[in-house]
Amino acid sequence: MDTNGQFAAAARRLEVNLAKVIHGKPATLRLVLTSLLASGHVLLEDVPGTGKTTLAKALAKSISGIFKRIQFTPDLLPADITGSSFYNPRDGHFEFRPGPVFANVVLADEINRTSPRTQSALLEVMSENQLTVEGERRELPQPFFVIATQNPIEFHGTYPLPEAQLDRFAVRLTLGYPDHEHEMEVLASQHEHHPLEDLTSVISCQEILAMQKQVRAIRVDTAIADYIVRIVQGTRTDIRLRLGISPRGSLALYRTSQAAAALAGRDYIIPEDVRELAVPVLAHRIMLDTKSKYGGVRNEQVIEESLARIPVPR
Amino acid sequence: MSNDAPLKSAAEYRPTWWMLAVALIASIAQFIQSPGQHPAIIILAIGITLSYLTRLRLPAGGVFPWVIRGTLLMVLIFVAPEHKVAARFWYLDEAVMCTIGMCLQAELLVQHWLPYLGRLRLGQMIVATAGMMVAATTTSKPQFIAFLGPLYALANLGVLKQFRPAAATSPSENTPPPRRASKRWLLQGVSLVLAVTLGYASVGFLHNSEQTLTRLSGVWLSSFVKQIRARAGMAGNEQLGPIYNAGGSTDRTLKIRGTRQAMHLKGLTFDLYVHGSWSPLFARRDFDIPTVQYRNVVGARTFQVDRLADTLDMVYLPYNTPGFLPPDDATTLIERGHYADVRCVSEKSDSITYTVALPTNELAQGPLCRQLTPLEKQVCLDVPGDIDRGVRTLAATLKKETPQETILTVIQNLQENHRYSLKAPKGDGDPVSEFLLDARYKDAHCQYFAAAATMLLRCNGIPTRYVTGYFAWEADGENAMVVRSRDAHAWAESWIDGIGWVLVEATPANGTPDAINPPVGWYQRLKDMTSDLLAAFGQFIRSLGWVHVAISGGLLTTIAVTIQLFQGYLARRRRPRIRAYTFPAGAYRRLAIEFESMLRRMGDIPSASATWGEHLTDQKAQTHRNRRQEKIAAARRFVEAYNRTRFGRPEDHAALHELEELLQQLKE
Repeated sequence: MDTNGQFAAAARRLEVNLAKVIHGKPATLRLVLTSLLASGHVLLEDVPGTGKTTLAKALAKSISGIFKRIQFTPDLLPADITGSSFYNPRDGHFEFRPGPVFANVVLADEINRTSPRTQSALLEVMSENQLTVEGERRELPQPFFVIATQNPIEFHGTYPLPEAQLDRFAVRLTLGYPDHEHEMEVLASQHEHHPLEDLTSVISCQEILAMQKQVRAIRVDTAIADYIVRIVQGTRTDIRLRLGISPRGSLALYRTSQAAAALAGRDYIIPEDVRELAVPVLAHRIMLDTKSKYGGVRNEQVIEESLARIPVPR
Repeated sequence: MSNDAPLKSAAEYRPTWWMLAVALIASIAQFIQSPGQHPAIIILAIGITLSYLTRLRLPAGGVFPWVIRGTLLMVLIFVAPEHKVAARFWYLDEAVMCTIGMCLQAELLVQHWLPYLGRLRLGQMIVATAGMMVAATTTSKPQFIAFLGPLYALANLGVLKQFRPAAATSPSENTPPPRRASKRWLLQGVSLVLAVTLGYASVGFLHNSEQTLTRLSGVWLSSFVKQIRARAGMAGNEQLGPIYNAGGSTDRTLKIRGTRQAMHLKGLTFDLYVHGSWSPLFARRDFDIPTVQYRNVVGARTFQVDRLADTLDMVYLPYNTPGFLPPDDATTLIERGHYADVRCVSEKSDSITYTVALPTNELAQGPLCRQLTPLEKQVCLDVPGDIDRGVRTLAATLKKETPQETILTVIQNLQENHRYSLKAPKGDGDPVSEFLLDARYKDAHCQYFAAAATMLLRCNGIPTRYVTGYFAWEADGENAMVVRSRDAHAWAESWIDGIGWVLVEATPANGTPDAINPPVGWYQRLKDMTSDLLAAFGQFIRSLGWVHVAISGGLLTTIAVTIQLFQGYLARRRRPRIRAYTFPAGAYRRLAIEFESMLRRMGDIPSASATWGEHLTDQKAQTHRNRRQEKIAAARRFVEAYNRTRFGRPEDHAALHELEELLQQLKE
């Protein structure tokens, strides 16, 4: 009970800290936290100016760990991310200089502005929390959390993320424009300076790791595991899809549901957790066939229909 | 997150009931205004309504909807009230408007059966219903518009209420959020006002300018008909000119089945000659072609003629036809016109088929045939004053003892002294006199030969008249012939007392249509074949009754439904089967079932694909009654407790016991 109280308090601190900067988006903040606690990475996708980078920076500042930011540009190379060895003439040896991925929180800004080759450098990092550079395996610091932002792929000068890369993000979120009231708040809060500058870290890396461990202990009934698998398998047989959801997807839904239950103060998952997370966790993992795509079908719609077809465990 | 975006169901695939309302109002207007087309309108309206009762949908995009569109339009246009364009051509003709309205209704039907995914189709529906309304109201009195207009505007308002830009529900596309609601309403209002104004304006315009439009169409039409006549070589006034039948195309005018005998088919008869121009006698003739039903004459040899192109509604017959049998169809009219011609007008179609009887026993000729009246005789002997005296002198040299011999001598004289030529140079004087007497004008075509023969015979006291028609000669397979526009011909007929009318062909053998016209090319043959096929198809469609249409429609629907069901079956085989409810095994099963049935008793059935919590949230949002809200709150407390035990500590028997007690309390 004591640990539960600590968990809730820590989560509350993080939420309040983020809400100082991002106004009027509690649901999105909750999803970012869910993903962090489920040890999953976050992809923020929206038009410019909606606060994607601000959210990522705020999160990084809230955690007292190493924070690195990579600005993805078309001329970025894989070695600029992973790091490379250089020759030290004083002692005559090659010395490895670690790249920006060696951090607790990595902000991959405008990730779709670089070529697929450079994007692929993140594949190993994101799924295995390790990196092989020049044949040598290197562990990444823990916790390791990537928060990437991207503009819609229809915009000029972008490369759509490869499917394998997309699949490695636990959730894809959109911020959207704030409503009238909250936009007023944004203006007022930045009257003198950006509130981001006032943020202090409210949680340590050790606490995050402990919370992640706690999340894994959340109870999942077999009926709910069965429900997750049914949802995922429903997409694999959907005739409108070229690509259904991988087991990595069902695992992500399982893990994030655990985190959501923990954030809600429960030590067990209920079907609502799964249903609320299905769209943000699964929608970016499917690929529509051309006909449905141009017929106006949306990824979210496919997932929602899949949910509507599958009976909920009682 | 999920509160903002409620789960979409399959109902999203069909349009809202407002759209049905608009479509049905338009259909009712159409129904009231189009008597005689009720079955088609009812069937289409039923088709529209059915789309709301089933979740089956046509696949969006692709060829299938277009096939259905095409079929519906073909059937409607063929089945629609056929109106003869040449007979009455009105822009606001009820039949035309009714057909347009039904075509739009067919489009509405297709729209209703497409899956409702985007916003575009809404606009199409509004346009289609507006078109139907205009079609219906135009044929009516203004009162009708006054009553239906506001009703229709109201219905459209309902449709527009459903109108939302597609971007509002697609965050993944990252389009900017939708316009502010007030702006959207403003847009909708403006477009509604615009649509209604435009509708009224167009109806008003059509009403006010009905006469102008009709007059314009009449002008256009008359020039069009003139062209047809000129091309066919048939004209109400025959003018002897330098070029004869220059536009005579290779298009077919008649098809003859049952004989291969070359013959003259008479169309028009002329009596009065004035300076190179033949006109009919403008008095009603008592000219006797027996129109008796000729079926019962023993031994009559008959053949059929298909009149393909309609020029003057005429029936072309051999000169000595004893009788002919008009088409069975009751709307055929037979008139005897000024030209001593026979006209046959069918209300239904331009092309008709009639049966011609060939003489077997000289019914129309011989001593028993009807004598000429004195007036007829006088007209057929009239030689106008501007005929040169030389012609009379020439005629006198050709006179023999019997009329038969005189006729032969005249023909012989013309053929010996003149040559056939399609171009006839024309002087200033009387064409017949010039042709007969002036050495410069000796070459001419059949009009001149026929006119000259007529004049020479009249000078000799033999009643003669000038005749135009077709010379049938071109074989068309076994025992059949075809007559083309280019086969137009002119000749003469003389009356011999005791025998009757005889044919006088004065044109030399190298000048008759069979001699001057080459065989037709492959292009014309292909054209003929295509038009035959189309005509046969049209005939087939027209022969279909409503029963046939209904049966074939039913058959098509059955096939479509079967395909859909089969596709559905295949899709179901591919995806896991959906059971209605999944209840846990063991101790929780009874609890879950009892709670579920309690929810049902509360009056609302929870969906299998929603959790109890979601269901109760929905219910709470819908009700304003305190008592019911309390009940819902109690049910929610039970659900929370149930979830805690069921998914958190399923082995905890004490908790299970508590749950049972809670349920009992809830029931009370």
